[in-house]
Amino acid sequence: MAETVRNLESETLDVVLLGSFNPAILHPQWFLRQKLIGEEEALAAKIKVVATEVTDVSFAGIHIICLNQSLILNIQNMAFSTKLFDLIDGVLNLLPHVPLHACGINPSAHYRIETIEYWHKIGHTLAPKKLIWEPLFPEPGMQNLTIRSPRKGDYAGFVNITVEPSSLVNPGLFVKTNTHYDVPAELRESGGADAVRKFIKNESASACEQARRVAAKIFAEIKPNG
Amino acid sequence: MAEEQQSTQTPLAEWAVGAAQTSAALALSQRERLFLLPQRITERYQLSAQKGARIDPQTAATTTPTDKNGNRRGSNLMGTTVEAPRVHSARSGIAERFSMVRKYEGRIIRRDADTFWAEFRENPDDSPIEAEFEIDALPASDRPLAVAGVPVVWTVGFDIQDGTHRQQSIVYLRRIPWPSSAEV
Repeated sequence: MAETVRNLESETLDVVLLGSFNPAILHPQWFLRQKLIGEEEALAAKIKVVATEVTDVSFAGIHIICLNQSLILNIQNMAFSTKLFDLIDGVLNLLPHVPLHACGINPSAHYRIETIEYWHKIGHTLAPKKLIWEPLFPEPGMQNLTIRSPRKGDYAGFVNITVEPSSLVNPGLFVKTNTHYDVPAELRESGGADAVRKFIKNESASACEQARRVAAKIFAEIKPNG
Repeated sequence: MAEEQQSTQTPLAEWAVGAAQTSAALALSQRERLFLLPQRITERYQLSAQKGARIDPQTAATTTPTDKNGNRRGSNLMGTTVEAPRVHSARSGIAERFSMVRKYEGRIIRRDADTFWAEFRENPDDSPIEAEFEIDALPASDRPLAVAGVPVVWTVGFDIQDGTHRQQSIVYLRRIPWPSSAEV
């Protein structure tokens, strides 16, 4: 972990569930009654809207947006990642029949880069310009690079890895990963919640490290003066 | 090259579409569903991970703003007027950033009236460390729950605000014992 912490400026995590949801129930008081959060957390909750079509609430360091087809949970401080996954586990335990067909665990991180030259070097190494781009366009620069890798085994799906210039620090590097799990077709109408709970239980720790792993590899292989 | 399919990637703009790579048709129906919301919202919004992206109202494609030379920028906060039925909301926390350095998970091993002690590991194979916390470190409603055996998380990191780094230590009880019933 320490390798990539040095220049780490910010790290966030989103978990996206796709399925069929009832946004109206996801009121902070419901979480409190289910003992998923504490009284202080419920009292301090920020409620933008709780309605049948959309819910947007924040509490306990977790921002929740629920639409009929998606449930998105976000933390801006990775300290709360365990709390986030516990909350999801608790919700799915209480709503075991909610139809789910996919889940994504999406960490992202911003890193400060020491110099503009090093920043360009990273971009040119990840996306070489000489063969295609420089003959066609002046000063081509990498804006976004996304790689997809399939995931096999018990929790099939894929990982999308995206590298971009950071919007937060200049010069900076932004890395995000999307560890995507497709719920097996036979479980999507019933049993999807349990499948997603198991996916989170078994894969969340490694999925949360993916952005840091990618950044560590980039910084290890591409040196400022190498 | 990779085949396109419904994605669980984090949407670039909230409430606008269910996923960043959903089809334009789905995005349109999603926007239609939001007519119950205020007809005009003026808001300086930020996005979860990358700021400055927006949903094109015609195509539902995500775009990033351009500078005076027409170049795409990946790195600007966008102050904008958003008109219904597209609704964007702010995610707090971008101005204040967090960088986690260490995360320990463990269990409370004992407590008295003012203090509790917990045993932690950073990784499952590590030797445990023991740490002592004042009971006041927990929210009042959690304090009765802090008894031996309860899972607890402790993180150490930095809170970065306006360029100032402040050390940050967070301790909280887990409300769901792990392993959970999902394992059974």
